[in-house]
Amino acid sequence: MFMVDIGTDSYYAVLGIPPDATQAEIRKAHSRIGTELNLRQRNEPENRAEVVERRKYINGIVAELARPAKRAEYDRANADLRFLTVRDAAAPLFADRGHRVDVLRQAITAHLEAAGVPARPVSDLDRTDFRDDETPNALLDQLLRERPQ
Amino acid sequence: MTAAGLRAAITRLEGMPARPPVRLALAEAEFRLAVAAETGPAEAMARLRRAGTHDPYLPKVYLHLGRLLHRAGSYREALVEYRRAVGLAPASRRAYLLMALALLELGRPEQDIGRLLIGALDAGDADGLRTAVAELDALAERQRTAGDPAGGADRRSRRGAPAGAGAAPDTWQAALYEQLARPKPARDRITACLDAGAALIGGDGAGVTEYATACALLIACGQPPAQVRTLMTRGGLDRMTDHPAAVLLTAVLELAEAATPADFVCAATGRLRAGHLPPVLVCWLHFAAYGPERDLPPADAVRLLGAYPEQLRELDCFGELRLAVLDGYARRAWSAERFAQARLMWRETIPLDRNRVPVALNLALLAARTRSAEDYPAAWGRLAELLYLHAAGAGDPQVLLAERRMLHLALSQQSMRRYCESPAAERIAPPQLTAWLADQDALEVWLREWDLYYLNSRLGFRSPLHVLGLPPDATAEQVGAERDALRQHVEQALAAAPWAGARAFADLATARVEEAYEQALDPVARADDPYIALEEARAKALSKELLDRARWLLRLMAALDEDKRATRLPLACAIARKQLALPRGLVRRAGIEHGYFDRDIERDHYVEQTEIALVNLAGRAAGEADDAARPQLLAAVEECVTTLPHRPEPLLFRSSLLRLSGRGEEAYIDALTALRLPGPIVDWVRGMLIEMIDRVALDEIPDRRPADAVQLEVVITAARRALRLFPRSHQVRLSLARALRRRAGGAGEQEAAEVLAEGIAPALTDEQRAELDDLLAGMPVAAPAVRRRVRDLLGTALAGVQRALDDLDADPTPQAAQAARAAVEQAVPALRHAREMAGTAKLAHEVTDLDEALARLARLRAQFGEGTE
Repeated sequence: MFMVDIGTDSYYAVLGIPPDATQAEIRKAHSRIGTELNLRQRNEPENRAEVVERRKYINGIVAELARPAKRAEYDRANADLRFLTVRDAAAPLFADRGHRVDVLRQAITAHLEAAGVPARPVSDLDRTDFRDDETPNALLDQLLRERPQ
Repeated sequence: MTAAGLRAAITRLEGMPARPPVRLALAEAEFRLAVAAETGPAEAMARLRRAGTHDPYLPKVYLHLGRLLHRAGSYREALVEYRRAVGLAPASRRAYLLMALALLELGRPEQDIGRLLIGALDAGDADGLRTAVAELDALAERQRTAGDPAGGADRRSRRGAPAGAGAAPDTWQAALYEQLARPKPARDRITACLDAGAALIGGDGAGVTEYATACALLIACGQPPAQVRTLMTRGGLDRMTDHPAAVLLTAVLELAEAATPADFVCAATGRLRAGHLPPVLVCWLHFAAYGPERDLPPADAVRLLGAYPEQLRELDCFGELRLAVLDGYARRAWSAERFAQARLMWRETIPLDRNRVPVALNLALLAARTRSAEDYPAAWGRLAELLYLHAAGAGDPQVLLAERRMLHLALSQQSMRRYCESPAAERIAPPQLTAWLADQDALEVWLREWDLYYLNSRLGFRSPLHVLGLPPDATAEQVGAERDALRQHVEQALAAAPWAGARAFADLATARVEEAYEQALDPVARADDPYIALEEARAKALSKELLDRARWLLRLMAALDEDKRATRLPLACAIARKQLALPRGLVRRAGIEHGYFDRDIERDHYVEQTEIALVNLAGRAAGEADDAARPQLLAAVEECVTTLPHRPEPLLFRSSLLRLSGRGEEAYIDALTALRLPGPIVDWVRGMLIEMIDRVALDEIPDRRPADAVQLEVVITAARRALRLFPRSHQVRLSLARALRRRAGGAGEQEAAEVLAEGIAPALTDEQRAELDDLLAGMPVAAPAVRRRVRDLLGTALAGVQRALDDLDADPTPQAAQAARAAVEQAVPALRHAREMAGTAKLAHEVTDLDEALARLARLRAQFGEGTE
């Protein structure tokens, strides 16, 4: 049976970062793996050659991912990696900071409004009463006055 | 003032001459009606647009139009309106703030400009506002010309307001929430915002709600409760024990300071029952304190959720909390390669939301990671189903389009990459190609998934021309052809999809294709389409992928043809169906552009080659001698007939297999159907079809050489039956006539003559007809029939000539002369043949008439010859 390979040997998987990782995350992962390799080199002198090879490989990957054009080329050729990544299934409230601030603010505002203490709107997006925006217009106001309310 | 009053005023104003005061009054009336609380968003937008036509210089119209678009989630469209508003009212802080909020909803470069705007608003920096708007204009221009959503912008994040700057009373909340949304909020900015909020707290309770809300959100965003208590005291909220906002903040602090999970649940339950807190806030605080990022073991974390009273657990937000906890622990288990635990946790989330796409994806990835043949098909099928079901349910094919596209791309790329790294068909080595063809499962995945990838890619374009895959100067004929091709592609790609919602999605996709067709035909819409240029690079890349697909399919077909195994026919049919369903115009244009196809060759060479390869394989299947394999081969050839319904060869091969299977009547129908197909049929195929008809019919006459009269009658009976079943068989007709004429004493002469005469009309070729004529002419009993036939030939030939001559008289052009000459040339052999028949049958009158007619035709030929010379 054909089964997808979810990229366990991809550059990103080797570094332990998601395919949309920032350069800072790549550097951080590089540093973490470098520390691990240093430790291994000290503790396992008999495996020195293997560790050196591994370091070369990791450095090569990081060098490629650090160059935007090279990274884009790699991503294009491995477009599936971006999709084949475990996702956060929680609602945005739990998964996304910006969304959380919005949801909680709205929930608190609605709660306090129901308790009789409405908040001043943060922006026009929260307002419903725009009578202040009306401009007097002699002709229109005359017509409106002529019509019984 | 009521909406009815405004409507009445608009009606009266519209009846007045459109002088400037009237237009201004109309603009104001439309505006007031648009912003009235009872007016729905669609009507409000339409009224604001009308107000803009009456008075194009009213900034408030654009501000509110932008606000409505903003609320509807159309951020880019909203930005266009906000930009117009600040253009007309450069001092409008409201418009700048809305613009900033819309920018924060978009990508990184837009967010940076949004932060600059908020910083400038907080600092009261007019120059900063102008700079930010200029940056926005430049970004929009880059995006328009480069087709890059990032617009090639400097991607370095900018902080917005300078350190130490204060916050403005009208923007402190927006600035604070923007900071809290960042992964690393700037402490000095938060302090500045809270200072501005605290300064607005009045003795009458004004400003308390906003300040308490801000403090509660600080805790929700991870600020230490002790710091927030200090802020609470600074704002005087600790003394307002009855104010609901102060109560809320106190309750939040109580939860944040709970010593144990049990204390938290107890306090949260009490506060929720007292109505001091919104449930959503409690759920988040619970997750922050005891979610997967904390130290609780998974079992304890799940058990803790069960400690809430049932009526709280039934709330939607508590369901989401449970799902978030389970998913968080499942992802942790995945990272630690505890796959059984991850599977258990994710499966636990399913009853909470059966249609959650990320859970379906995670379970699918899990099945792939663990190579579980048991889970894999169902998990990946469910994922695909959900991706289509959500779009079908929303009635919008754009919903989850990127996810669908990526799913199909991932599957199609991987199934191919297993055997070939390069997208170029010519680069695959023969052993790899053989291996790929042998891995039918992988090949089927590639065949199926690429089509779905292509369909979703096309639907993802905004420009109707790119949806259909057309060049900017496409003719109406090309637009129609690509519409038809894409509609066919929709049907083919989704026809076999077993998912719920696949049919509804196909209908939505077809509706989008139709919409694109209408738009592409409209020259005004085409000229105004900003997406043609924006999406051109992506469209070209997709066309190249389409071309690569066509070339791959051709390579695979050629390999199957070379392989020569008839058993590969079903696979060949599947490949050919994919090939033949590709949009030919588009493949052709891409092929010419990339130098693969010759511009001057009319026919689509790759289609022809595909068809020939499939026909070759079908021919091999028909020639297979193995009786046991025949049913499978017949089924495969039937697929071939369905794949190439316009070609006679598959029908011929199916006819042959049907005959060998003892299904003569079906074989006969196939052969006849093939002969009736429109278009020319090559001679060898025609000959074999006619031969097939005769073979099928002759099979019904076991022994055609009777030794005596008794056997002769047996043959005659069998031949009569065969002719009834297969009346177009010439050989059976001749066999029956011959047998009848062998009866003693000429007893069968009359019937034989009738059998032969009846065969003239249904004869399949002129040669057959001539043979029947000759036989009839030699039979004295057939004289009346021969006379009728001769008269018929004479009448038909002369009528044809006369028609051509009449046409020439009416319109004496060289073309008409040519046609008349051709009619004469055509009539001559027919009359000669009739003359020969009449002579053999000794029909004196007819001989005379025919001689006269031939003499007349000879004169006409001479005249035409002179005329031509």
